[in-house]
Amino acid sequence: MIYLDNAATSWPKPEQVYLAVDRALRECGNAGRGVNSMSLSASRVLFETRALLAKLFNIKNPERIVFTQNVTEATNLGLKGILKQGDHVLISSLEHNAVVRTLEALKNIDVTYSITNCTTEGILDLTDLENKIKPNTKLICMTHASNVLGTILPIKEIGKIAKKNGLYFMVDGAQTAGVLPIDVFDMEIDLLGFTGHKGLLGPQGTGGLYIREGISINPLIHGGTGSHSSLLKQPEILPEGLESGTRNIPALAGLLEGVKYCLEKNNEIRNHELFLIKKLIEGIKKIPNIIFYGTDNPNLRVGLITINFINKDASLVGTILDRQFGIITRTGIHCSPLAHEVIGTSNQGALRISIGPFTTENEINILLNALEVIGGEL
Amino acid sequence: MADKIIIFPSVHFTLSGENLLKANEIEHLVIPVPPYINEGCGLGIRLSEENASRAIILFEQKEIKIEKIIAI
Repeated sequence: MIYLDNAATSWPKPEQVYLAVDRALRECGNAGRGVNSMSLSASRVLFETRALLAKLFNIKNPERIVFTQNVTEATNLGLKGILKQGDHVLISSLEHNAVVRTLEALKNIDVTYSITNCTTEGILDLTDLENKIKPNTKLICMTHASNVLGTILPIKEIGKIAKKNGLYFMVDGAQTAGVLPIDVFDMEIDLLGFTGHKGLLGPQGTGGLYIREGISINPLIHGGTGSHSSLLKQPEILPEGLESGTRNIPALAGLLEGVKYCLEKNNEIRNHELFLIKKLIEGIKKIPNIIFYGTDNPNLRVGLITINFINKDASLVGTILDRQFGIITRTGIHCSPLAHEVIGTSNQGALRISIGPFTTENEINILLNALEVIGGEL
Repeated sequence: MADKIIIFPSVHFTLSGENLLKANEIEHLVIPVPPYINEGCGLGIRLSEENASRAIILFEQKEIKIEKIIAI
């Protein structure tokens, strides 16, 4: 089996991730609940994972990272926590439903949003972004890279626009954390949502939100934090104030090892991805009857490529790849109807091929041969 | 001289403090705080009075927030 669905969840994980999950299940208690050695072991997992993530994202105060189940929860926490009645938000036309559906839900408190245009290659129109700023705009919320087109957005430039206009800047790092450099200071990011089970190579059920010092966020969930336990009111101190309830300690222990792996490999992961993406783009362009979406500049892409065959349903192609060739990809709308509108695939959907640090050149060759067979049959 | 218990606003800061004390080889003990203390995360770090004075300076330097210090 060849796994090319790393944009959905990375697989396999580094060996030490599996081992850490197993170890934590056997050795950890519940974090922040008492001062027994097992509880302290669990608290140390959270502490160390936060510290390493802070190092990875150049975050000065690790306590400003709160753990969530995934980036969707982080996005909900950020948007619902910061937006008030009458606020306006600017997003891109490449956003995931994690952002769009949350903003749709916030319409019930008169939060509105505008969509900044992107070209069919996924290039964001920065002038359009500035032109759409209104007096009540509070936040710019953008994905770092599109999960449909793979295009990387110019986060640093967007950060400058946000700062210049006195707006908060929130970034969805779902497709980039662990692969592309993210520096919250340099990119002027106020809120950063990330997931643990994609580029960071940790288990599912992990993610988090970074909240810049000085920004106050309302919790999504209230309850026990293990701290200030005699008080009836939710404590405001981070990270615990936004982490009510038991965290997923075994999964976060795995994430700790995933982040360590990313830090150790540094540029190797991105260089490997670039090498394979270049090969994929070159190969795909030679195949008959294929439509290739997004920019052909690999430096502006993360490790995913979305395609279609002319007059062929994407889900059918995905099934052929799976059943006849043993190649796992993803088909459908990819939870981002806005991006599909940009490339005109709202009805057809698209087939997404996404690579990971353990994808080999040989696997890409096998995929290209399979696509050639399918394309030649049309 | 009485020992001191330094209480932090969260487990995160308690563990930051613990790491710093370990790195500086200052003898200490992470302990549960008595339930009549409403502040803090339920944990505290117990030190001798002399070590507590050294620790407080280190915590300030590293911006590790202290919620309360009690003598016992």
